[in-house]
Amino acid sequence: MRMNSSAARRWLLDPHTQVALTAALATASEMCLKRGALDTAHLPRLIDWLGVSALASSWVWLGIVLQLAGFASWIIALRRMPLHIAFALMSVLHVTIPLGSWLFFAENVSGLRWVGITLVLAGICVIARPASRLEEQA
Amino acid sequence: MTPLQLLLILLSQVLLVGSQIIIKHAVNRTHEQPRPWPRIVGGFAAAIAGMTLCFFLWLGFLQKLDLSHVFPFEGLSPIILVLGASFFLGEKVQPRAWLGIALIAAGIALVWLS
Repeated sequence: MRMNSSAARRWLLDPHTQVALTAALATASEMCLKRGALDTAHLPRLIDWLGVSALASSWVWLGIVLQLAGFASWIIALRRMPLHIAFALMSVLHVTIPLGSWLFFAENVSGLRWVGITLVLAGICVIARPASRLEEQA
Repeated sequence: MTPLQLLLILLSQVLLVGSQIIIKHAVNRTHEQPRPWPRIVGGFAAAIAGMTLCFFLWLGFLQKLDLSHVFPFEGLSPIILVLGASFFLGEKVQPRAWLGIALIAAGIALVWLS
């Protein structure tokens, strides 16, 4: 079935679509940053705990662009969705990013780590409403 | 994860939440007449400096640690927001928020041990 352009536009601007897009862009961004960080980890560093040397990798710059794109879709999502809902939905990053770390970087995500991640995710969903109220007042 | 790295992760989350609040205040003040330009520009400059420092700290963590080990620490930001509002603004911490804080803190402790 052919979708007409106004339906497509409505789907694209739907806050749920935009939150999903924000999460996808944020996940992709972290993957690029991690790849760039790994590629540059051997470079000499001026200050040991700052990763300025990672800027030598194009992956990091791609990660920055994706992060900015994610910020734009987040702003669009928040125009039509309460902050606490969007905030709780974004906790999906706590699943997608470790999954990506395991898939793309062969990180060994242990059972204990997954249990911890699950608790963090549950906690974010619980605290989303009071935290968002404060955020909106701030 | 060394104790120094743990401390830096905690500090970077505090810096991030602080920068976000400063930028929001700076944006709000653009509605005042006459506009308090020095405060607005100063706020933006401080927030951008804070966020840039956080970004480089983050890249530093990614150069040395697993992404799946550091990312869960991002869950600290709502805790910092709620406790910060309680400490600086005297906002009462709701029971629901305490439950969230307990779950996130326990989760991060397990991730840290993993």
